[in-house]
Amino acid sequence: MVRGIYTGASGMVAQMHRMDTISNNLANVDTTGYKMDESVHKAFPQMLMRRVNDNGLYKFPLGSFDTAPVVGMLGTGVEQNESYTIFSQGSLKQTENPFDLSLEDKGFFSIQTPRGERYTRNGSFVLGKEGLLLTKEGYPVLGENGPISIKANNFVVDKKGRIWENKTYADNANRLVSMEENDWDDTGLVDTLKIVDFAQTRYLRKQGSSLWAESENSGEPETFSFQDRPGVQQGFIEAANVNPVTEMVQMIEVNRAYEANQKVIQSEDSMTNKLINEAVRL
Amino acid sequence: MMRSLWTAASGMTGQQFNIDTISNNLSNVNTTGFKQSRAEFEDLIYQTSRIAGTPATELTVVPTGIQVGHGVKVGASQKMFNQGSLQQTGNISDLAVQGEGFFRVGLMDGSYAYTRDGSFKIDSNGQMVTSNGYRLLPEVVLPEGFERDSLSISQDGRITVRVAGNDDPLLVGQLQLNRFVNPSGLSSIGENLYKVTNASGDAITGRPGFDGMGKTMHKFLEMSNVSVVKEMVNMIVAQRAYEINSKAIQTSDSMLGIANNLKR
Repeated sequence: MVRGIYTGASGMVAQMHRMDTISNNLANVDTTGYKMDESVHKAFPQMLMRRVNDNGLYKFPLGSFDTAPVVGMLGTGVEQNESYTIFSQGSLKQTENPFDLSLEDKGFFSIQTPRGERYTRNGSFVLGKEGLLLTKEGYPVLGENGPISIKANNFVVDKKGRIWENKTYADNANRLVSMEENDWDDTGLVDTLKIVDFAQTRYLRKQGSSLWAESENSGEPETFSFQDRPGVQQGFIEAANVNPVTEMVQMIEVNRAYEANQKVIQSEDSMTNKLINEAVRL
Repeated sequence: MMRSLWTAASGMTGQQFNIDTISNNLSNVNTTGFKQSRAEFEDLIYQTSRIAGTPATELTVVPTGIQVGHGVKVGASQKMFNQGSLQQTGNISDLAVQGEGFFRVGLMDGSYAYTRDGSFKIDSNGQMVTSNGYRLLPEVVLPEGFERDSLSISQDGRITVRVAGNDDPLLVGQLQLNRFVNPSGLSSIGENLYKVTNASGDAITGRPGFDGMGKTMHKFLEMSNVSVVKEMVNMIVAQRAYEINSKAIQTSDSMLGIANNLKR
C-alpha cells in the first residue's frame, strides 16, 4: 500500500519511545545520582526511486537491469537507535549526614552485589550492624581492599576518597564513639574508596536501583591514578541531572511531532480514499 | 498501552510518599526527641529492548543498546539521628541526651523500646516513667518522702535526692544509655519509641558520658531536629516534581487521543 502511511506510523512509534524516556527522566527527577537518558533516533534506509512510467527494463542473458531514470531518494521512516545516558554532573545537595558521599565529575562507586560488581553514583550509604558501609539495598560498598568496615563518628572521607579513622577507638566493636570525644589524635588509613571509570561509559547497562553494570562494549572498570581521582564530598548527595525545562520542551515537541505524524497518516488515508472512491467511478 | 503513563504515575506515587514523609516531619516539629526522616528514591528496573553487543551481521555487533526505564521507587525512608537543640525547662524530671544514646523503657508486654524523649514523670510509687507510663530502665525508684526540689541528675547519670529530715543527698539510682551501630535501622513504633531490628544491631549499653555515650542533661528537653526551612524547600521540590509528572501523564494521554483519532 501507500508508503507514507508506514513512514508516518514509524514516526509515531518513535515519538512514543521518546515519550517513555522523558517520563522516566521526570519520574526520577528526585532520585539520588540518577543520570538522564536521551533517546536517539535514526532514519531507516533510504531507497532509490525511479520513474515508474518509463519501462526501461534491459534484458540480457544473465538477468536484467533497470534503465528507467532515477528520480531521487526516498526515506522510509525512523527507528529508535539508542538510549543515550548523559553523565553530566548533578548538583550537590548538603545533608550533613557523614554517610552521604558524592562524586565530583566522573567516576562510579563500586558495589558488591550477589551478581558481581556493580557501579553507582548514588552515594547515600548506611552503616550495617556488622560495621560495613552498605548501600540502601544492603550491598557492601567496596574499597580498594574489599568491603569497608568503619564505626559511626569515627571516620572521615577526604577529597581523594581515602577513609581515615581514629585508631584509638577502632578495635573494640562495642566501644562506639561520640562526635565530641573524637579529637583525632591517632589517625590511620582504613581504605580508599574504589572509584572506577570506563572507556565507554555510554555502553554501561542500567540495572535499576541506581546501579550500572559493565557490558562488553563499555570496557573493563579502570581505577584512577591518584592525581586524577574525582573529588569525593562527604555529607553531600548528588541530585539527578534531569533538567525539567528541557524535558518539558521535549515533551511538547514529542506531542506535536506525534500529532503531525498522525496528520500524515490521515492525509495519506484521505488521498487513498479519493483514489478508491472518487477518481474512478465504476 | 503507553509505558510512559505508568512511568509517570510511579513518579507521582513516589512524590506522594515524599510529601507524606515531609508532612510527618512538619507535624512533629514540636515533638520532644523526634528525629526527621528523609525519603530516598531509586530508579526502577530497565527494559532492554536491544542488547548492545548482540551480533548484527556476520562481522559486526550492535554497538548501542536501547534501554527504557520504568520509573521510580522509594528506596528508603531514612531517619536522621543528628542532635536536636536542647531547651531548658526547669522541670525536675526532664532529661535530655546531649550526644548519642537512647533511654530504654519497658513496654507492657515485657519487651524493650528505646527513646530520646526524656520528658519523664514521677508516678505515685516514686518511679520514673514516660508520659505513657512505661518504666524507665534500669528502674529508678525515689525513696518515700523525698524532697522534689532536691532531685538532681548528674551528667553521668547518677540520681541523687534528699529525704526529709536528712541533710545528706542519697544516691538512688544510675541511669544508663543505649547506642546502636546503625540507629537508622531502628523501627519507629510511635509514642516517640523505637524498637531494635535486625538491621540496627543490638543495643550497646553504657554509662552516660562514658564510652561514646552522650551526657544526660537534667532539666532540659531535646527538641525535634526538623529544620522547617529544609522541609519547606523539599515540599516545593516535591510539589513541582509531582506537577511535572502529571504533565507527562497528560502528554501521554493526549498522544493516545491522537492515536485514537487516526481512524475517523
